[in-house]
Amino acid sequence: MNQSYLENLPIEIKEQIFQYLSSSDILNLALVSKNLNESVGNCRKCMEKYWIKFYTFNLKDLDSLENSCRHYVKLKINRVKTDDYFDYLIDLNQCWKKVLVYNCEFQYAEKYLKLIKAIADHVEELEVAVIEVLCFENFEDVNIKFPALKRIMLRNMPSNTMEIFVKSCDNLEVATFDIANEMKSFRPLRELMKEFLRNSKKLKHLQLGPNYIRALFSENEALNVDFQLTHLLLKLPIANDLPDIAYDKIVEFLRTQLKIEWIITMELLNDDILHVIWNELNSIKRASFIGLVELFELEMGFDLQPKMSITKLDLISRKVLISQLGKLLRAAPCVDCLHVCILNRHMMGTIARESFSVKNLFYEHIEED
Amino acid sequence: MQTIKLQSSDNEIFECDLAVAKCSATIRTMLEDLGIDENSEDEVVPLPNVNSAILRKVIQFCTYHKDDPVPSSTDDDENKEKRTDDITSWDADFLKVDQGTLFELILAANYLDIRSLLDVTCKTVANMIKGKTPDEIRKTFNIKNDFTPAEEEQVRKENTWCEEK
Repeated sequence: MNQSYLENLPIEIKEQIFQYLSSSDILNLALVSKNLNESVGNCRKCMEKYWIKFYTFNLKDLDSLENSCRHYVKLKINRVKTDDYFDYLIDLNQCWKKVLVYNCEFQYAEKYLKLIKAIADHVEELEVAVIEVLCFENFEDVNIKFPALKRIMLRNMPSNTMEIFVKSCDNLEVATFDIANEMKSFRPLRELMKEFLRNSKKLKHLQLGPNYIRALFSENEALNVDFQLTHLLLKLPIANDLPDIAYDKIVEFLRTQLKIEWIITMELLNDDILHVIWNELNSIKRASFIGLVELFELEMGFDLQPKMSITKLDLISRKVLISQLGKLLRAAPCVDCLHVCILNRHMMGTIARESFSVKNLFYEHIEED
Repeated sequence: MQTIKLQSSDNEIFECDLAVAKCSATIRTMLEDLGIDENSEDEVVPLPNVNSAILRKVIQFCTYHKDDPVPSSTDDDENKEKRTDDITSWDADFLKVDQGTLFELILAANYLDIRSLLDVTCKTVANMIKGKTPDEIRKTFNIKNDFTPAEEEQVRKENTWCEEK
């Protein structure tokens, strides 16, 4: 027999063995022989351990990746500003499942499109953040399908780059949008987002930053969608930053989302939103309120009905008013887990007085008298 | 005690406890498909992919483990590196065999679909790889280095691309 017992094993048994090996052991094994290098390269679970990080400030031997027989799945591109490098990545012809593109600059929109097209068929998770495209074109006629895409995150992007994803993310379950640079001569972000959300029928998790909230809720038209979210994060604008948001439309939207289990709000300054979250959405099991300076600048001039479904409560702010803490705890009699940013003597007294159910208390800092 | 006859590839017949034989999902399926029940005393289950020496070892393993609970697996388990330091002393002694026998046991466990035997044999091979340099792995498993020096250097460079986090 020319090959060893190990090399002769069927690939599915080799994969059983590989699952017990660390990343460095697997790389050492790949250096043993061509047979084992190919086996490692064909083992999806092995390849899922590794990121290929294409950082211009830390580039390695390009030929070695070009001539690889391995099937990588995770790619992170950072600070690439040279078109030749994008061509190189496109020509690698790998079936990337998870792709992160950060801080990149494209001379032409065409190059950005080619990169996205090259990954579209297989990508399951895509994050694109802080992208600059120097010469823009209209993306309206672009038709790229993302049949496997389950999670997308777009942050700090020119608004028209959204166009690519508007019609074609049928299987999307998780979407995060934060910071958009509105491009004046293209379709407005408002239209793009509404079309995107109408088409994303399987969406379960949604995170919206201030620009996107304004785009969706700044006019009199209601937002009509087919999905039912289980997780929602609303990063509301800091007071008076974006005054033209129609909060009543956010309330209307929340009333259509009857399966939300975890809601997170940042900078909540509207009584009506808290009212609908607390008193109308009965599916909520976890509520997280985050405030940069104060927890929320609310009068809370309404009754919070006792909400038995909530078992986890996060109140993350440098300043939490004792009156607000007491009111929330009284209205959440089944809270088992409470998370605060700064814990002080007054808060501990309030928690002890107002809640019999808190068993786990998490905090970042203790404030001494 | 109900018994069943198993026939190895070299035609040796092994009579063993039905409960022991049923540790193998393949045998369980064969019994159902062939319509062999507890009263079919003369029926023989042919196992053309397992020789007598290995079948004897497999029966020994299954006899010892026949009353073990079926382990449960979760999605979390799937994603993390699995332990190899939890082999019991009985299993470790059982697997103190030459490499040919160890790999034949792996193939038999895979063919007979005996999860616990496959797990412990794969763990044993993984332990023979762990912490070793490529050269040490070659020596352990008698593997020929078929890379040219240039190809080996290429793979070495390719490995530097692979980052865990």
